[in-house]
Amino acid sequence: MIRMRAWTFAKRVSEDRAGSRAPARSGSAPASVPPGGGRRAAACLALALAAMLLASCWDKTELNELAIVTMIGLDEDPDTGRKTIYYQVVNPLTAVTSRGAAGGDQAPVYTYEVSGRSYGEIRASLYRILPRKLFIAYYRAVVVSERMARRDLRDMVNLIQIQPQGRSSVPVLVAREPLDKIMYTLTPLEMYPGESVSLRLSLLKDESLLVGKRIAVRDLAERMERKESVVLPMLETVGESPSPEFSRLTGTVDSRHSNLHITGGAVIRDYRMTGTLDSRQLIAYNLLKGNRGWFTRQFRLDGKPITLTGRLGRIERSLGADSRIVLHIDLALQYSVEQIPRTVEEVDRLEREVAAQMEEELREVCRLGRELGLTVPGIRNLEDARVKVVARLEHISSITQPF
Amino acid sequence: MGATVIRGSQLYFLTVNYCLGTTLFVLIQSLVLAGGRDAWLIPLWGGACGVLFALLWIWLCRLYPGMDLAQISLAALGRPFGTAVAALYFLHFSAVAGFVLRNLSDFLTGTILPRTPGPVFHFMFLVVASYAAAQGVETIARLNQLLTPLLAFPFWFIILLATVNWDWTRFVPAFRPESLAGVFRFNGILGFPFLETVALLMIFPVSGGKKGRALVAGIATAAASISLTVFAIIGSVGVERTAKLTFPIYSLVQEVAVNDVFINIQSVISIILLTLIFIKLQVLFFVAFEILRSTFRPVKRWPLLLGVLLVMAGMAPSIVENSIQNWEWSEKYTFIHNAIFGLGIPALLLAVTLIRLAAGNRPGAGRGARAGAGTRSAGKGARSGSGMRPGTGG
Amino acid sequence: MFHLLYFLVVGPVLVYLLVKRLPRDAALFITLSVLAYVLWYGIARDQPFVITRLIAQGISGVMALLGAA
Repeated sequence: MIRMRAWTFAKRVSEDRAGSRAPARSGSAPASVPPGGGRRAAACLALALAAMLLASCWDKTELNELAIVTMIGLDEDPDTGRKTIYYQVVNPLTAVTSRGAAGGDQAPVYTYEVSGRSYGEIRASLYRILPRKLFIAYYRAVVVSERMARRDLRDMVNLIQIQPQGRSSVPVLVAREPLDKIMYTLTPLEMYPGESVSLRLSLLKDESLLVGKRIAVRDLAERMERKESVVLPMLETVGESPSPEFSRLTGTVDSRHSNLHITGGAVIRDYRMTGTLDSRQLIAYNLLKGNRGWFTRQFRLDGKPITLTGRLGRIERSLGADSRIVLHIDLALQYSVEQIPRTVEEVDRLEREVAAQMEEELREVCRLGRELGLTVPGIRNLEDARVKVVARLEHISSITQPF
Repeated sequence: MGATVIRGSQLYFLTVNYCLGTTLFVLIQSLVLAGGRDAWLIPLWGGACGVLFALLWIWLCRLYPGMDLAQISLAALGRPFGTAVAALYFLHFSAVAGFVLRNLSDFLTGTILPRTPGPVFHFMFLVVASYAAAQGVETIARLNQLLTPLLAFPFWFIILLATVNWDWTRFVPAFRPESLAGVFRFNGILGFPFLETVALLMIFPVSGGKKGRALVAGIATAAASISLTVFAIIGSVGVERTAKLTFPIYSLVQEVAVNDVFINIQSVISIILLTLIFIKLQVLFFVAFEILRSTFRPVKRWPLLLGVLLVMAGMAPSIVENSIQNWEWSEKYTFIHNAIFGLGIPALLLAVTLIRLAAGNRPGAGRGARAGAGTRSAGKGARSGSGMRPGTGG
Repeated sequence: MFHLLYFLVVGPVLVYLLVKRLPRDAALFITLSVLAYVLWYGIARDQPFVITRLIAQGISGVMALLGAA
């Protein structure tokens, strides 16, 4: 009997393989498979049901129902605890006009300011003034007021992370001036201030070392959780209060008329701003972190100034009881129009002088470690670190002697 | 169901995608919370145990060649108990399918489609799954085989894109005793997903080729994939943030920006994850349907499909109250609950079979030459065994 | 409302099965419908019958029994 069973099996297998596709097609299809037309009807029914359910009736959104946000500003009044959010929304009517054309007085962005006792309240009352559905998935920057940064940044981080559309890879900036002045300022050359700021941040990171690499919301959250510090860029405005008519802005060549400046760095430790760094300190700090952008600085050689461009060539760290950082800096004479060394001796002296001055700068920044709670990834107590700089001239500029 | 209609390689891909199913976006936060920087070790040891469980199942299936789980339980335990066990398995797989659907709808309503009610997703997926189940296992296996490269390459490509933010210091210090203790204490990994693979025992018999190897290799590959994904997430996002994000893989991909041109590509990952989930649901639906069909042998299939659909659609909103209760449940009971069905009952069946073999009873026909040919099986076993043989039509 | 929809879906199928004299199919379908009805009744009243709680109670009950034994 078992043999017979096995034979029945084998026969079935060979039948299947022999290719009578239709009846024995799927091993589990018994006699009740509707042939031909019935199967077609079943397929049509399934498709129809699927199509009905795919219509996405509930979450359909047309593009012109969206308020696309390019920049977000957050402020908190320390006395009353009242929170304010600024949403800078793209004005779609100016999106296709060419710049400079007499395309009307429309500003490229509109800033909406909403206040409330909590962020939930703000979201609830947002649609009293905003006629479109808020869409923050494309925002480029978050600006936080200094007074909020000095108190607590946790709310900002939670607010950004809790929204499913809020990407946390956008940079955070601290505003030096009252936030409303900054959020109502337009920028030249780039239509949307948020985009202008974010493009400038990436240029500054590579070309000047005035801005670090990790300045996004996610880096802030991670560094704070790790009990390290982060340095965020700061924003301030230039020019008078924002011009009430945009057409005046397009008509003037003076870019200082209305612009945002990225200056300085705010040191954030434990979700709180502890102090600021100026440009020199920023360059030194970013070098300590190991950023590889170019920086330009003026040094003094024999009492005379010389501007050099430098870049971190190599950084060596030995950590432990005696943390030492050794920086090898490659120098380039790209902008040294004041003087250019001529002999090998002069080059040696230049390298030593630059190394000494850089070392002094870096030590000063290390001392700020205790004061401001500044840390470098991996080194918690920056004030105990010892820094040594070795400078090397690598690149010559297009002129070997200044005129 | 005696003929081999799917190949060993198809079983392999089915196993991999079934195991990966909802794991990739439901489990990662719990893994990182439990294991910290060493969380990527958890799927590895879970997979090793999963392989051991699979060996147990393969042993059971070898004792009953060509019979699926429902037929095995009928053959081993007889009509009443066997039917009860099959019904229990049906309920279990419906519950697991309810979990899958619920995770799916929670994910979608939590991220991209906030206004859509959950049952819309449930019905949507169930309708398609029931149509696929009506076509049979061959269709499911082939579909899966087609989809696997379409899923795997974009998924790993996007993970690769996200590694621009990599930082090795996120793993340091590694292998600390506290985190290793957490790693090995996390027994939930055994329950979900590795013990849920018992569902594939319904498909195992119709697979050709080296099916035992395919199953084991599939589980191992799935474990390696999960481990690699957790590793990539820890390296790119960091433990501190992953422990607080609900869907770390979604957040990881949300932040991927290729040159500021391709931003917000998280919908690609969502589609891939959805498809993986759908494959798991399809397998579960087919398996649940097959259990009932194999046990009760109805004449028409579509009422049974409709019934299973209604049950699963009812299970999905009822399975958990909310994520917090889900979390508590999975902390305490996942392993036990899945172990009953993935280990307990197969072990029982195995024990019963071995006892009966030792006593000379051969439950079910088709033992082959190993235990002596030609011996007629006696008692209840023969009746139920012969009644269930597909060769006798029906 | 829920009852109406539910029986609109289940009823015709049941009638069809009975008319075609398929007792086994009908019995199977009735069982499944009853199970689904229980689940959907809870959902329709916005108090879903939470399955994991049930399983948790069951498991802890069994563990208590085994622990006591």
